[in-house]
Amino acid sequence: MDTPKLKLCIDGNRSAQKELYDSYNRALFVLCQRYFSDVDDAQDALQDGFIKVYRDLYQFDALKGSIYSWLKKVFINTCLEKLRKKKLDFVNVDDSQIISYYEPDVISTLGLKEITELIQSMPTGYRTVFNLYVIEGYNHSEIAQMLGISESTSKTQLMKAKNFLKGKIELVV
Amino acid sequence: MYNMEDRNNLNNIFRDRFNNEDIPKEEWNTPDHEVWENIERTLPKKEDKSSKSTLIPFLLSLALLSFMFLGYKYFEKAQKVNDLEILLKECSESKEIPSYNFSAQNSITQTSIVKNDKSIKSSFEASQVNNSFYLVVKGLTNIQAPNLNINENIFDDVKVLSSNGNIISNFGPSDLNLNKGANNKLDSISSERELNSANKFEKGRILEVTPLNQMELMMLLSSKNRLLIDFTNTNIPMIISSKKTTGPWMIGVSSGHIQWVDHKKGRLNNPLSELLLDENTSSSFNLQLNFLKVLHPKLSLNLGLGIYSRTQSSTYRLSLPYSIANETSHGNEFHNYFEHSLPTSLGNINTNLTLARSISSNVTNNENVDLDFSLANKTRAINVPITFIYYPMNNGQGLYFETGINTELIYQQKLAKVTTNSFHSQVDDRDMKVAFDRKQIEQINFAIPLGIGYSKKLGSNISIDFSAKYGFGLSNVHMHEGFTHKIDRITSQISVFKSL
Repeated sequence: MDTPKLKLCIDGNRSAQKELYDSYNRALFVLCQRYFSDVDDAQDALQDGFIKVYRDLYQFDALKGSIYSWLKKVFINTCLEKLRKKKLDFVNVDDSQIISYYEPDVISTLGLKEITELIQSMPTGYRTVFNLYVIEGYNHSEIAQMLGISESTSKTQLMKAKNFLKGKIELVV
Repeated sequence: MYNMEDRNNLNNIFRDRFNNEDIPKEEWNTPDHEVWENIERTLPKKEDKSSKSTLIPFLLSLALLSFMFLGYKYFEKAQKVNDLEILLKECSESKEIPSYNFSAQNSITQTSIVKNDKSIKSSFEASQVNNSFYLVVKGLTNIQAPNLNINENIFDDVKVLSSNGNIISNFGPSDLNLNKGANNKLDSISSERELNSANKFEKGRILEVTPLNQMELMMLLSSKNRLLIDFTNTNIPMIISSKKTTGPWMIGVSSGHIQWVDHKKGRLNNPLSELLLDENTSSSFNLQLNFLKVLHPKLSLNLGLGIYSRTQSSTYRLSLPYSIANETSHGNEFHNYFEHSLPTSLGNINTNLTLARSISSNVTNNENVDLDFSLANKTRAINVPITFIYYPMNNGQGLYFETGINTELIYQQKLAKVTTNSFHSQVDDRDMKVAFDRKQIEQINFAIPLGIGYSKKLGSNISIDFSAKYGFGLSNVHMHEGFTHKIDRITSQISVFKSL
């Protein structure tokens, strides 16, 4: 979406706002679904996220990145806020229990819907850290700050998420 | 077991799969229609306020300018008719005038009539002069009539005299050839000496110069605001300037410095505490385009279009109760979130403040945390001054006074800086997010400027101006229950004008 259209959105032009929604609602809905296993929760997050977007769009600076990158940040924060309200529960495990298995070849054969469903099937804590680390690209220190947990908790949640995912992939294939 | 490379590959596969913003529409990834309907319900009613708020001041300014222009044109037309009527009346009351006989082929070209030291060139042509005529110049202040001397068959000398008879300018041959030759019937009116004694050059009087008899006048206003006098019996067309000649349009550019003077009254009561510590406005650089119209030798109308920006900084002292019960754990810290609406010059802004303390700190529940919160908002505006300039000493130059109205149209407001500073020894300000609604901000401000300046001509059609003005602000830039903030402006400016 080009800058003049975004300016119209900021000025409250309804057709431009709808165009922004139409352009990104699917990608952002998928993002929300990665954080919530329940589709209603994901739709609530999508709704709240877009309300924030229209409210804060004037803060978007095209020099600092694309509109999609900015939108993703807004929606990730929205999802995390909603998750915090739901009281995220993180359980630490011993490092000795962490076993990493990766099946890149198998993952690459799955469709977007299947991968999303795999992520959705994880417990909330695993899913959140997995999303933030693997997909969004945050490091454990940042994740610890964002979620109010220790770095070691973030690491173990990620390992458990991957183990969980491996088991699921084996079932799928 | 897979190595680090495999691990990164897997991460990249996931990342790439979800990084595509353009996803084909499928049932599972398409939200319900109700989502948009719910979003739309929360959005402000469709009211293109920003364009409306820009359009209305623009239309008002346009209407004001049109009104002033039409009023001026009406005034100018009425003045012309009035001048003509007076002139005709004065002419009809003229007494019998001594006559002069001209031989054929008398002519004058490029002679001048001088008004208040300003030369207005006129063309005189006379040919086949067999009858008498006289030239009427009326209503002039201080002086100013061409004095035509007749030297045999030619108008060879034009003199301009002040009301006391002193020569201001002398055109034509320097030798006055008065009473030269037997055929010349020069009357005393052509003589400087005689004019002094005759004391004919009084203010506002018709000056009868080089009169001839048997005239029949037909006067018309020409398109260039000059009187055309047609001597029908003599076949001598003449053009002289009318009494009040309006000058041409002049165009100019100005640059200057604006020092804003803050006037705050009352005290700000806001829901967080109540203390607005300070609010001030930075100085601005002004760039302006000007159009100057001479309405009268001593009075001009100035229409401007300027652009500038200013930054207004506000500092608030907030006092917040730190609730231990609402803390969230973030590693080695506890965080507390505060969401408030705060009245500012940007309207009611929404603030999201995060306070943090270390786990080992000792803070009691609801302990007050004092902190300063500063925000700077940058305003970009178009300024439309409409002013009248009066030159008390000289026509269109020298010392002048200026007044009128400034209309400021704000076209952009944005947050330039937000800072917080906690004074608590154990609770730090971690983050402050601010959001504001542009629609809350006044888009138009007015001010009345009073100024003094000096204009100097650099050539026939270029002048340079220096001016200093004080503009009394009429609109508040920040107003909230019991608190008002107006800004006056001190402008120092340099301008260059050129006649169009």
